[in-house]
Amino acid sequence: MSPIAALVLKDLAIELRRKETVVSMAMFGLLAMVIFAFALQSASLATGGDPLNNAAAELWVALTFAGVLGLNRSLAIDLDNDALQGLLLAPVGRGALYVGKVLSNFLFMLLAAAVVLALFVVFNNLLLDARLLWVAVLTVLGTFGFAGVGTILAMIAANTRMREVMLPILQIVLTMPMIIAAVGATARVLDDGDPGTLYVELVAAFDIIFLVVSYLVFEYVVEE
Amino acid sequence: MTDAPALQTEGVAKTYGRFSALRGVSMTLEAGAFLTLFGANGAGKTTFLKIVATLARPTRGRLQVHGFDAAERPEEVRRRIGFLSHNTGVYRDLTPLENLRFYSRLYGRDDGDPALEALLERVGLEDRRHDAVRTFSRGLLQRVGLARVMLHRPALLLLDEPHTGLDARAVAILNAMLDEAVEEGRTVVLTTHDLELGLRAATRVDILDRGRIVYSGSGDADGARAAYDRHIRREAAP
Repeated sequence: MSPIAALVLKDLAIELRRKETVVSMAMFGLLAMVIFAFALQSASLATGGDPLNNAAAELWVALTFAGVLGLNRSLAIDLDNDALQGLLLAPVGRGALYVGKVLSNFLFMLLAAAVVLALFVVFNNLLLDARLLWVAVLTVLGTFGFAGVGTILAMIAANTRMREVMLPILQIVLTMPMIIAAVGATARVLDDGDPGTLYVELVAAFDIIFLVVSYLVFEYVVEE
Repeated sequence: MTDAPALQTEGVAKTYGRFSALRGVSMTLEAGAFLTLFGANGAGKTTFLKIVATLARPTRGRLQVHGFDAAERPEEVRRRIGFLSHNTGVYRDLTPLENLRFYSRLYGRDDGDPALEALLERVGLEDRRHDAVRTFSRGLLQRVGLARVMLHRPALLLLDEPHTGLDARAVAILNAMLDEAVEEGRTVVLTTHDLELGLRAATRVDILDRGRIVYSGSGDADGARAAYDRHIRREAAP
């Protein structure tokens, strides 16, 4: 079994036992979605606007906050009892450790995103058609980049005194361009079914940049 | 194993900002040696072990483990070392058996459960192998950590005050495993504040003081005790 598969299986086993990361992410995402949906849709209705105009922003705000929460919890498992040190002592390239952790985080975020997306469909009366498929594709793309950069930022934040605060600050600032592109693409999909090539390319480009840079610097982040 | 020394360091130094934790440590340790490293708190023992374990990068100097340069071939170095500190590096939500299964995969061994269970029996955890590590006391946790370190039969064992928090039975288990490792030609580097535990099996004793080796001698108990009194007890005296 490859080290990457071993890492993902380990995280899955722990999550199956604790049921904390995905559940808390999903609950937090749902709450954020409900609050923003009621707040923004009430405002739209009061001003005669189309509630669907704010739907893309509601989705990505919910996914962003839920994702940050998940990253904090995911890293806490490795920091508990300094299990991370055990990983770093293994004869495995630092890159493989990074990829394994990214895949675990991505998987957990996708599960939570699926729950949030289900509520998003209900709130916005979306049909199970090509538009929804595009929203799902954008969610997968955005979540992957988010997990990619979030994994390394969580490691950086772990060495600071206020890591619970530091991670959201670093994560949201760094991923803001990608979130803007994802919101733009999602809004266009909901409007006319076409996400716009530029927006999708932007999200994909951020994914690649985040992953490559994080992969390359991970070794220096985890070393004393 | 190669004919190269188990551990060779040349002028290894480490600074954190303006603080020098290590100020040029050079040593050669032949395979099969049992080195006890004494030093007061803050002398640089843990920093030295972390650098050898490739967890920290030296600011200056170089080191080799069984002929493999830590900067150039870190994975080969890690394959040959086992490092145990106060933090046992095991997952609290997994059982001891699951922890060993995971680390066995990570080391590319995929040991079967019988071999892992035998190792747990060796550290006296056969009855607790299916209990979550979260429920373990400090001493039991350290035993799981010991099993993790011994899992891949490392050629060089690095133990940073491993006796801390262990009861008499666990100390006996640890000492027996270390004796067995040395009999098999493996090398041990142990740090401890306990003079008797440190001298028990040492073939060499070094004393670190403010990041420098200030004494290096054989495991001769009288000589080591005198050096310990000179460099550590006097330092600690009010």
